Amino acid sequence: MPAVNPELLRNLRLQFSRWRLVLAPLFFILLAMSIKDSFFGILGFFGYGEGRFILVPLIFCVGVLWGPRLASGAVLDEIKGRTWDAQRMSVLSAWSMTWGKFLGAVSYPWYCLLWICLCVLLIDDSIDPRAFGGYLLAAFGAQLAAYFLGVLFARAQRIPSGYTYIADIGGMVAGLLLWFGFQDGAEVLSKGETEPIQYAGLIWETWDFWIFSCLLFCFWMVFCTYRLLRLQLGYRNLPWGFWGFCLFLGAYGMGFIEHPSLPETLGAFSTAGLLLAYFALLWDEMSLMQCRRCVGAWRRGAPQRALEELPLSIWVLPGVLLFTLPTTLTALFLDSSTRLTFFLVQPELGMAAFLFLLRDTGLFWALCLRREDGGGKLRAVGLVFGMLYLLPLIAFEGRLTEPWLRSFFVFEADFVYLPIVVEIALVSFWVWYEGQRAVSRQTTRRWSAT
Amino acid sequence: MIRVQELDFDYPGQRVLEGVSFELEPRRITALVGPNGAGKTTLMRCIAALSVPTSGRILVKGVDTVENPRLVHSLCCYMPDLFGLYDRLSVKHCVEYAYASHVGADADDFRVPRIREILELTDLTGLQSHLVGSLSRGQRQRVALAQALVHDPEVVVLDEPASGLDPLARADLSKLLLKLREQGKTLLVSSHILGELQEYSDRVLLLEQGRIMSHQNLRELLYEEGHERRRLRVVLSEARADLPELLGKLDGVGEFAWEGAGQRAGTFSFRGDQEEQGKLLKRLLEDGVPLVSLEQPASLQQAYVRRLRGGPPKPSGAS
Repeated sequence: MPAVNPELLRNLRLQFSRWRLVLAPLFFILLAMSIKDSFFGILGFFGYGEGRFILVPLIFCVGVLWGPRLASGAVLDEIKGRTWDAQRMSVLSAWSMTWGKFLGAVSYPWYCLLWICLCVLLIDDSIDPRAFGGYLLAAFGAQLAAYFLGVLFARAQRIPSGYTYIADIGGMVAGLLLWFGFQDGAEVLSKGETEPIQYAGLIWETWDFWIFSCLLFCFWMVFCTYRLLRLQLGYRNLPWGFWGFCLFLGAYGMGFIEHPSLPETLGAFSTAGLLLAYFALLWDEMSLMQCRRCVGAWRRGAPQRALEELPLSIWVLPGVLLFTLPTTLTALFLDSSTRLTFFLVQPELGMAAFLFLLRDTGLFWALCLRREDGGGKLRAVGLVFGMLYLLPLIAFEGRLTEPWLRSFFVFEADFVYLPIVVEIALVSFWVWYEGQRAVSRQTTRRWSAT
Repeated sequence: MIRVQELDFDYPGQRVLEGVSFELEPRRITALVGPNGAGKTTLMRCIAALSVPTSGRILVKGVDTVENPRLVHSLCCYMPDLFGLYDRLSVKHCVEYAYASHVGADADDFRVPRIREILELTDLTGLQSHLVGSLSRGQRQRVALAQALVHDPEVVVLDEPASGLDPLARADLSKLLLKLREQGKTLLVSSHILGELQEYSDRVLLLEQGRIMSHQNLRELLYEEGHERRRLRVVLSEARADLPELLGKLDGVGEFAWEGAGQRAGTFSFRGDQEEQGKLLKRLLEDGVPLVSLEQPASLQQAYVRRLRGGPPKPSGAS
C-alpha cells in the first residue's frame, strides 16, 4: 500500500465507490454527446458552440454549490457522526489533516469537474482558457471558504445543525462573489479589451489582479484553517498568525491608496486591526472557564501557558492600540488631512475607535458571563449593533447633537472623549459584577444540581 | 501510570469535577463507577487529553495531558460510549485507516501483521471484508475497539464499552479486557453493569457529584461490605421446620424468611465477619441441619448502592 495521507485515503475510499467512479464520466459524456450535434448526430440537439451555456452553469453547480457543502462538512459532519474524537486522538499533524481532509472532501466534485472540463474542451473551442481557469479558481475559493467556516464553527461547545448551513452559505457567498467577479472579467477578456487597475503603484490588468488577490486570500484561508485545526488537536496558538493576517490586510488595503501619507498608512493597519478585533469578538471563547484556565496556569508558574490561554479578545487590544495611538498622533501633529481611510476610521479618530472597541469588548464579556449557557453572544451582537449603528442613526435623523449621544459612534472630527470614557468605566464595573456572579453561581449550582 | 491531582472541570455555568485526585497503578483494571452525571465521561476525556481541565493536573506515564496532549494521544486510547464508525468502509479499511493515522502512513512494514493481530484479538478476522454499516451492534463495538487498540497503547480508557451488548458479547468483552491486562496494559473502564465490572476489575473508583467517594481494591471493598449486616441464604437437602427457631438462638442472626412452601431454602439477616460466619456454619452442622449451602457473597452492586446512599459526599483524595 503506498504511503498516502490517511485522511485523504479514507475520504477517497468513501467517495469513490465503483458505481460513482463510472457514473460521472458516463453522465457527462452522454451530456456532451447530446450537446455536440456533430459528435453522434442522432443524439445531438444543441448547436455547435452553445455547449458552454450548459457546461459552465454545471461547473457553477458542482464547484460553487455542491463542493462547499462537502468542504464545510469535512469536520462538522465528523463531529455529528461522532468520529471526530477518534481523529483527534490520532498522531496526524495539523497540516496533514488540513490538506488531507480538504482534498479528500472535495475529491469527487473535482472528479466531476475534470470530466466537465474535458467535455467543454471537446465541444466548445470558443471559450477562453483563462476565463475557464477563473471559474475553477472561484470554485476552489468557495470550497476553501466553506471549509474554513466549518472548522471555525467546530470550535463551538455544541454544534447546532444550522452551523453547517451557515458554513455552506458562507462558502457559496464567497463563491458567488468570486464567480461573478471572474464572469465580468471573462466578458472583458472575450471582447479582447483591457481594463487596467492601479494597485501598489503598479498598473495591473484587472483579470490578473483578481487572480492575484484570490490566490492570496486562498493562502490565508488555508493558513487560518491550519491554525484552527491545531487548536482542535490540543495545541495552543499564540496570536502571531492573527497579527500576521492583520498586517497583511492592512498592507493589502494600503495598496489601493494612491501616494498614502503616514497617517493614512497607519490608518489602513488600524482599520484592519479594528475589523479583525470585532471579528475576534464573535468567535472567541468568553467564559469563566477560559479565565480560570488562564489564571490557573499563571498561578502554577507557567506564564507561557497563561499567555496561550489568554482570550484572543484581550490579546488583540494592545495590538490595536499599537496602531491606533500613533495613527491619531501623526494625524493630529503631522497632517491635517481628514480624508477617509476606507470606510471606518478617520486617522484623527483612530483612538476613539479603539475606545469603542474597548467598550464593546466589555459588553461582550459582561453578557457572555451573564448567560454562560449560551445566548450571551447573540445579545451582545444585537446590543453593539444598536449602539454602533441604530442609535447614532436615530440621533442623526433627529438632529440630536449632544456630545454624549454622538459618542456612540464617530461622526465628526470634534469628537468628545469624556462620554466614551465614562461608558468604559461603567462597562468595566458590569464585567466585574457579572464575573463575581458567575463565580458564585458556579460553586453553588454544583451542589444544588442533584 | 496515571496520576490525577486536584482536578477541577467546569462546563458553562456548572462545575462537573472538583478536587479530584487519585493514582492508577500500571497493569491494573480500574472500574470507574458512579451515577449518571457524576462526571465519569468528563474525567475520562480529560485523561485522554481530549478536554482541558479548568485547573489541576493529569500525568499519563509522566506526560502532562495539558502540556503535551499529542504525546498522551500516542500513549493511550479512548473509546467513547457513543462512538461513530464509517459505515461505507469495510472493517479492514477502518482498521487500516486507524493504524495509519495513529502510527503514520509510512509504517507499511509493520502494518499487515499488526492489523492481522488486532483483527484476531477482537475476533473480526472473518468479517474483515464486510461493510461496517452491515454489522450488528456487538460487532460494531468490536470494530471500534480494534480501531482504538490498533496502535498498541499502554493506557486503555473505555467509556461504557458493554452498553447495548448481549450477554455473550459481554462475556467476550470481559475476556478481551483480561487479555489486555495480561499484555501489560492499564485499563480504566466505566460501566453501569456492575456485575460485569466485578468479573475483571482490580480496583474501583467511585465518583459522585464530581468528587471521589472511594478508590480502593475491589476485594477490600467487598470485604468491608461483608462486615455490614447482610442477608445470607441457606439451602437444605430436606425440610427443617425448626430452623428459624434454631437460628434465632444464635448471635448476630436477625429475621428469617422461608422461600416457598417447601421449607428447604430461606434467607436471614446476619451481622458478622467471615470468621463469625464460619462459626455459624459449624454450629448449624453440629445441630444436624442438612445444609447444602450457606452463602450470600457481597456484590459490587450492593457495595455501590450502600456507598452512594450512605451519606453526603466526602472530600476527595482517596487513593
